[in-house]
Amino acid sequence: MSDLIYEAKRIRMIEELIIERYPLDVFQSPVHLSIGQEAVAVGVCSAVNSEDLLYATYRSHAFYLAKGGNLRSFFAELMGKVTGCCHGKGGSMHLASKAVGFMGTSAIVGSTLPVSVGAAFALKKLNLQSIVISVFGDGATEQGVFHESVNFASLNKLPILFVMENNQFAVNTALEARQSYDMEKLIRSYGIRYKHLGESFNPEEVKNAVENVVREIRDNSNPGFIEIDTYRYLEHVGILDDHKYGHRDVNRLEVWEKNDLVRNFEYDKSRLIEIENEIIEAYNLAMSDPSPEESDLYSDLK
Amino acid sequence: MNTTWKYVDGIREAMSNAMSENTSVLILGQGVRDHKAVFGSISGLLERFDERIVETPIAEESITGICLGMGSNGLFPIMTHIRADFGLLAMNQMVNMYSKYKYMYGGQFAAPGLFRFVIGRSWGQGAQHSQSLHTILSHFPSVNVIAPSNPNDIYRLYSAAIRENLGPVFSFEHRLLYDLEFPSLNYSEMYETQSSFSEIIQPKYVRSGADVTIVATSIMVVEAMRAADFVKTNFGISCDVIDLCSVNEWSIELVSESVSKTNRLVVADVTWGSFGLLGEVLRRLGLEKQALPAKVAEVVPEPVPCPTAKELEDMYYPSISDFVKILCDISEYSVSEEELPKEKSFRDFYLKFKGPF
Repeated sequence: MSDLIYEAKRIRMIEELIIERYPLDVFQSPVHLSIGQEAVAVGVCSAVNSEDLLYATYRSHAFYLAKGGNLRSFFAELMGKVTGCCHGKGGSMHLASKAVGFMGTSAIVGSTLPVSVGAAFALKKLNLQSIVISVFGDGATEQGVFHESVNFASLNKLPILFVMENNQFAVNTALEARQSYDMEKLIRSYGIRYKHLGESFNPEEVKNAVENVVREIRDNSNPGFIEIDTYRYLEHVGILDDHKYGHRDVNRLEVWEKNDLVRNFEYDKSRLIEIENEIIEAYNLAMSDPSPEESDLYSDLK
Repeated sequence: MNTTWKYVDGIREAMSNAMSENTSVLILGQGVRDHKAVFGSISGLLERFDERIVETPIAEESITGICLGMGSNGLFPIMTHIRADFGLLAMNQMVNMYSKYKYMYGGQFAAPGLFRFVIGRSWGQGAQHSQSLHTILSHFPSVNVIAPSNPNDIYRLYSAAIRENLGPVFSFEHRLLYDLEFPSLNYSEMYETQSSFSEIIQPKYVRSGADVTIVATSIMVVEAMRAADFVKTNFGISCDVIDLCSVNEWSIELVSESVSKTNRLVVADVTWGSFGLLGEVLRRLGLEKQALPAKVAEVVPEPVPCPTAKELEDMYYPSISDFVKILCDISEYSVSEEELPKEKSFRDFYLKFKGPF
């Protein structure tokens, strides 16, 4: 238990540092923070192997870090340094680290869905034992390409886990205003196993639920689908609390503050200091890293 | 070895050879497993490569993204759009994803893949079965857009694209070219010389002259040759005809050399002129050479959606007569109606084309 909660706490501390330093303008990137959603990333990534391929969204700091992405390269990418995981060409919304199977994130809602399905097709075709984890939000299920992707995955019996992070908001619009369909019935209609995990207060519970679904995917080479409820504490993009605008359910915030294990766990102080030192060191190293040069503008084009 | 072969043979041979040599090559698309075999362009491949020919749902956007996932994980997908118009459904995946996947992540991923777009024409294809996207897609950096005019180029380009694991390559195949016979490459040119993709796409003279420079793509190269023949024989006007094999990546030198000689430029393309190829050729000449031709003209469809009635369609597309008239006008050669080619319909020449739609 304690390792996973510390991993989630580490991610939250990293993003809290971003919030603290954001006014200094060192991060040359819009940020869609994961604060509140770390347990999903940590639980999912701890339930799969390092060779498994994960695709995610523009809100993926937590997934990048939980999948094992390098922290200095993460800070450097947000700072626009050439040492960034994408050499300063992606920023916060386009994180990727092929070395740890973190295969790409996109700023277009739903657009990594078919790419992840194609990756699963390749794994199956090449007789590799890995699976694909395709992470997306509740809003992505409104895109036409969601249906197209899930349909193709089911038709071809692909080894892919669809992870729907349901934070109930598309920017500032609540789910009720956007969706007429029943997610469980919809997914079952494709012949795909569906699991709804309630509020993800605890990364360990996420891990256990995901492990069960992943086992079935590996055994049967069939897609699986898990919906996980989560909570985004801050505004859609940026570092501010936006509850004062009245578009969000304050009762749910209270429930989350009361039950969020990442927030309320009684941590060992010395371990937190170790983590803090690691974060500060990576931040300082990234700060001292060089910026890209003109030749970098034209590299990796074709 | 035959001395001639058809455009469709070049397409099929390239894919057939590549699939034999490289087991990671797949073909995907709507109808790729049916008896018509994409107008014969993949005939015989299903029998040989069965499970590597992947029938797809009618879902252009996701299949494009799926190709990207395949390509960036060790396969080489070839996706076929039996009409180029269908590609518009996949613009998000082509533009926001495929063409960015290498650059945006700092070169961590290759994004190989070949997209075949068939351009329809005549016999009632209409507004949604006759368009091309080659100029639209050429706007975006980091893509390869080609519109080969003959089976030799298309054979060598497809072979090179797969061999070099390139992508995304967007290729525009004109349906009326499919059944036309062309002189074939000799054996060594075809199987032994392995020129690189970037060499093969360079513009080339397919005819030399002194009076007018014609820059053309796709089937308009064939039309340009016919028009150039006619004006040479009948009026003594001689033309350089330059085959612009790649739409978005070509050295300016050949075009500049020709235009500085003729001072007259005619651009012939299979799509509309606005924000199109003539503008692009002039942009490049102006920016890179600070030298623009004194006279310019274009041979392109009328700026309306393609109609279906034959009478309207014949007005919509430039005929050989229109082409000849434009060449005479730009050469300040006074030509009478009686002296122009009698053929009013492009289709009269490509009579072999009967469908299948």
